Amino acid sequence: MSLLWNRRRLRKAVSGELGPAEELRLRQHLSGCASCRGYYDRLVVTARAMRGDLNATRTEAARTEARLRSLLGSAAPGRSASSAAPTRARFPFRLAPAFALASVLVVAGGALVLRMRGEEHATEGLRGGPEARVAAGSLWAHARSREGGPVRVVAEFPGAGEAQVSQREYVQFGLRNLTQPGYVAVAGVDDGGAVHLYYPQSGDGRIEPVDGRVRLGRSIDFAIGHDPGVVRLFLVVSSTPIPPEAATDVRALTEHPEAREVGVLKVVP
Amino acid sequence: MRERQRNTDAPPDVVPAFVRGDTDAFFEVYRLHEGAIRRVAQRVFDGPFEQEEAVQEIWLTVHRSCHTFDPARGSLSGWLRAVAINKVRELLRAKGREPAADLDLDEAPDEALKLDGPGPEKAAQLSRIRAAVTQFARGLPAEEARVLELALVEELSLEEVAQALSSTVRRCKYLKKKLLVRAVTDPGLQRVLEELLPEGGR
Repeated sequence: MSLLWNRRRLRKAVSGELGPAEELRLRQHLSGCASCRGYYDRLVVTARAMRGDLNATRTEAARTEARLRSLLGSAAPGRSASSAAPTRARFPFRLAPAFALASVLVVAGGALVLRMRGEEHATEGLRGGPEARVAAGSLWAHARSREGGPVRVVAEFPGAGEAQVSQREYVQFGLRNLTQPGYVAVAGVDDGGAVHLYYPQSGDGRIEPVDGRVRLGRSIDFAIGHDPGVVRLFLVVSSTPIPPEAATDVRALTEHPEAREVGVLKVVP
Repeated sequence: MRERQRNTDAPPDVVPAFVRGDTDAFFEVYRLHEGAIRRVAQRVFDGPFEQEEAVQEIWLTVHRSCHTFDPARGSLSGWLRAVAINKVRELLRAKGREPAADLDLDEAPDEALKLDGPGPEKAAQLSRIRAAVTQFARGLPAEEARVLELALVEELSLEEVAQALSSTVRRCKYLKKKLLVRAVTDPGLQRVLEELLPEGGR
């Protein structure tokens, strides 16, 4: 991928000429490439300046709307948009719209198998790629009260049975003992069947192996989007990247034969 | 062209649909409040990419938690701002950063987030930018100067620009891209815009 080609794509993006899948792919690239991100920022700032303004342009607002529609699986107005969407998606037939990105975990032919504590098992790439062996680490969860104070260890999965978190806490997920680079995702399915994607919330979820612990993305505020109840936790570790087109291929997480549930979180008020 | 601050929370029939999770209602709310939410992100994050990611995360959180909004307890705009501020804090913490000491997100009233009346520093910055853009535009061929005015300043669609210039959409698209390349490589203009970029992008 040449620098010239990248810059052309970035200019197209800023002009609002990229389709949703291309834009998603580009943003995943920008998450990890400081050079392209710098050029992109410069383009956007220049476009804003051309208006003699510091505010975002109408094109930026339209692009954000298009991205949201793509992530939420919604058509643009004037097309066949549904006007009676349920309050929350019900598993297994529909994923919670805000977690359409969870669909990247499950793609036709894809297989995500996970096992803890260094036990090896076969995995298939998400797009039905070659069989690969990935030694996965264990999933840990820590929590801290919204008011501050010490961090507490919630649990290490699997083996923890049912662990408890409060809606007054922020919960941080992480991995231990991942022995090979992999593409990781952590998701939960609540009592109502809604899928919550905890990691990744941007980028491709690629993790490099570490000896100790690695935090997975941002801490999660369980006061937002979660009701008190039970959340089934799923961990996905794959040796192949999750393609951005999969974000529009909605599949129920646990319908996949090789997805693995690692534990349960009880969410309390 | 300045963005007008919208004072309308949402049409009465939209709010119940929004709370139910109706997608059309969600995007109606998005269009009404996207400017205000974006300003929260722009206050905290330096670079456009970071701002865009934050805005996207905020609206996804709004969508996930729309059923928690209770109109009897407050305005939609107030609720949206609370969600945005919480999300911004979460994003900053995840990056190992804290909000700047002079940025009081909790206490900042809605008016403080408006950019209708920029403070002295912003006004001076705007003045420098406008002068640089005027200087840049003076060096353009007539056709490109018109495209700059119509497509980039007034943000008309390419079809409208082509009609105004009695030209083709293809030509206008080409000229708009050429303008952007010229602008992003113009030393005088970029010197002024440096202060708007995050440090890593300079």
